[in-house]
Parts: sequence; C-alpha cells; structure tokens
Amino acid sequence: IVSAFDSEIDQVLDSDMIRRFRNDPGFVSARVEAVNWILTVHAYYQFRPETAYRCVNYLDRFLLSTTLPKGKGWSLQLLSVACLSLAAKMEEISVPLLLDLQTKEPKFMFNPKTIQRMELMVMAVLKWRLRLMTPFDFVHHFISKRSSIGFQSECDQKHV
Amino acid sequence: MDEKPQRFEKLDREGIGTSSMSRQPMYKHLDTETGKRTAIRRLLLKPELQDSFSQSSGLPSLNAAQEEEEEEDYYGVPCMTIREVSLLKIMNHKNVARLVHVEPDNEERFLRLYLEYAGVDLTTFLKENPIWASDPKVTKDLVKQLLHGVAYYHSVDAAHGNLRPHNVLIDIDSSKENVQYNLLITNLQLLPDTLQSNYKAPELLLGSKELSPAADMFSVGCIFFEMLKKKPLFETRHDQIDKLFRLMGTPNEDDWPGVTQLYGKKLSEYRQLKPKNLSKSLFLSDVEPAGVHLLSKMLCLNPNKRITAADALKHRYFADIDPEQQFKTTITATASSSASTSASVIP
Repeated sequence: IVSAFDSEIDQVLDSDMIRRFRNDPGFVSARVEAVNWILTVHAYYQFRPETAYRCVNYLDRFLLSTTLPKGKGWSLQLLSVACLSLAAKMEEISVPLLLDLQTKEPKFMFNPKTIQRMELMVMAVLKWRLRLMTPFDFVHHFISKRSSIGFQSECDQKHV
Repeated sequence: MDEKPQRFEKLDREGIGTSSMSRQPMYKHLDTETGKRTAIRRLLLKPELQDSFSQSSGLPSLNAAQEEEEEEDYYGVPCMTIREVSLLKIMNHKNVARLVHVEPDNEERFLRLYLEYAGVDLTTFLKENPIWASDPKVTKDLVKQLLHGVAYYHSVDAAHGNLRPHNVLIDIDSSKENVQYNLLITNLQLLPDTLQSNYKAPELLLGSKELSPAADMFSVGCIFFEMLKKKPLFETRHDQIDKLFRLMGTPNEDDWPGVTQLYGKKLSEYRQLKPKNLSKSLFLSDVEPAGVHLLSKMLCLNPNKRITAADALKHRYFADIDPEQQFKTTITATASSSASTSASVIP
C-alpha cells in the first residue's frame, strides 16, 4: 500500500489553484452543472461508484492545469464526456458507445472523432496518470485485512 | 515512423528487429533530452484497423464509406490502450523499461510509446558473449533480475503477456573493475526471429485467452532454459505442446484438477504420457540441481501450481547470492565489450 501512495503525488490538487477557482462563481456553477450531468449518466448506466470518483478527479485535474476557452459551454461538456468515457474504460467491464454515452439531454452532441481527440488531450494533460487511489481502495484494503482474521468476502480475492 | 518530434532522433544503424504490426524495421531512438536510448512501441487507437494493418504491404487506406460506418459504433481510444499506457506510466522499477514519452501520430491512428532501451536483447547477448553467458553465476544473477522485474509487474496487478528474449534487454557495464549486468524487461511488438520459437504457457496453447501472472512465469521458465543452454526450449511453434507433454507428461485430473472440463477436447488428441526426468531429457547435468528444480516449478503445466515470481525469488537456487549486493563478476573488462552501452542504472 505504500507504493500506492508514491504514485499519488501527481494527483494531489493544488490548494492555491482551488482557492482561486472557488472565488469564481461562473466557474463553480459550470462545474456543478458538469458534475450533475456526469452523475446522471453514471446513474443511468449503473456504473460503479469508483467511476464517478475517477471521472470527477480527471475533470478537476484537467480544469486546474489548463484553461478552457471562456464562455463556451460546449468545451466543458466535451470535457465531461471525455472524462466519463476515460473513467468508464478504466473501471467498467463493458463501456457504452461514445454516441450512447451522450445521453440525458446534454446541451451539445459531439461526434466520436472529436471525443477521441479530447480523450487524447485529457490524457496528455494528465500526463497519462489515470491510475489513482480512490477511497474505495481503502475499503477493499481494510476488508481484506479483516478477512485474514477469518472473515470471508469476495473483495479480498483481488487485493490480498 | 515518418514525422518524428525534435526530441527523439532515429539511430539509423541500430535496428532492433521488425515490427509485428507494420512489418517495418524498427530503430532505436535517441532521447535528446536525457541522452538515453529508447525504442518505439505502437498501440492502435482503432482496434478495427488491426487486420488491414497487419496485412500491411499493400496496405489499403480506408475509404470514406468505411470511415462513415465506423463512426456509428465508435468507442474512442480503446480500453486496453488507456489501461496499458496509464499502467506503464506508474511503473517504477530498475528492471522494467520506463515509458519515456507518449504521443499520437498525426492522423491519430496509433500512439507511439517511447520505451527505455539499453544494451542488447537476450538473444544477441547470448550469441555475442559466449564466455560470460556460460558463467552459471551470471545466469543466476540475470534470472534473479528477470524475476524481480516480473514480480514487480505482478505486484501492481499486471501481467506482462509477451515475455520472450527480445523483450529482455541486457546492458553490460564493464567500466568498473567488476563487470555488472543490468537487466531490463520491455514490451516491444517485434516479429520473432527466423526460428519460430515459442514461449507461451500450455493453458494459452490449449485455448485460454487469459493473460496471467502464471502464464508469465512459464515464459520465464523458457527464458531460463535458454540462458542455461543457449538455445530455445521450444524451437518450433507447431509441435510445442507435443514436446511439452513428452517432457512434463500429459496433464490429467490428478495434477491439474478441472483440466478435462477446460481443455478435454483438445487434450484427447494427445497420448497419455508420463513426466520425464528434466535433468536427463534436457541435458542439464551441468546445472546445479536447485536450478533444475526451479525450472521444473516454472514449467509446471497446471498454472495454479506453477511457482509465483515472489516464491521463485525465495527458491534455494538463489540462496548463495548476497541478497543486498547485486552479484559482481571478477572478470576484468578485457573480454569483449562491444555490446556495452551507456548504463541504464537507476539510483
């Protein structure tokens, strides 16, 4: 588990940057909207909770390291789709098509090629560091610790 | 391989083989930022292109209509590509080749992965340094480093899936009084040499498609044998199973419970054979018994009983190596050092 922490350094969000963005009401409401859309689609496809965590982590890390063109709502929507698609591909066993992923009344629809380009851009901005520790990993870890004292769980198979 | 960024310079004379994907020769590239060598691996961004890509020579460019069709059922960057690159990105071990840089090509048809490259591949090493390679201590040192690298892969919940001598790089550092060997596991998609030698685990040959740590360990066993005897364990692909069963015995329910249910149909084509004495049938009498024992554990047919990389490192074969200090030979650097390159020692 120590090695897992080592890989975390890139994923810590810069608190100064967070403070600066907090004071920008336009940004905050746009982000809330984006996250809400993500969670709606997430619920629709019954993705695992890890997927939502990952997706919002990618979204925030991207927003903190790059500035999207101002006043263009589509760019945030495109980013949301790309992040959701990446998160699902990292976490889920089956992933919907890019066209099907844009459900629940998104404000804009994008063709798959554009989304793929955005996926590549997001991964480049995140320096390809898509593997991350989620709070869920700790749950698995502690369950597996417990199971070694004689508590059977299906989660432990993977992490012991 | 047409346009390349400023950062990487193609080293024209240092070919490393033929790409199994594009059937073009592959070259090492110099990373001008660090002065280190890299090799390129390509990952497709469109899995459906695989077929037309591998037929290559008369590579038909996709026509517009086909491309329209693709749009409909499009998943974007393939899952496996994303998972693989993000995994390589966090890998940090002295025996595993680092991912130096990633970039898509101009048309976004594939990703170029620049992987650390050092020294020469194992086959070349064995051929070019017959004296060093015959030293049992060198073999032991190299197998140990190989196992450390493989154990690292497995410790991050990953399997390598393509362990073969051209993916094992050996860098000889003869600058010091004691010659040192650094082993690096990489994953390049190169065509096998003229010999269709094979390193696949029996469960994969019998039809399983699952890459697993156990399957990696079988490949390690094949590589171990190759280090000992300077020739591949299975020289031809088509009769590998046959040869393997003649050596290890045909698997049965006793030593591999469930095997009939999994692969019964395929197994019925083979005669029931009994396992043989490895040392005798593989002419390993010059190898210490502990080494033969370790080899037999790695070549174990049942993947569930096959030794793991972590356990192999604890095997008594390695008992006489100082665990802290890497083995150093006392051969002075007067012997052939043609293959030595800048060391890739990572602090």
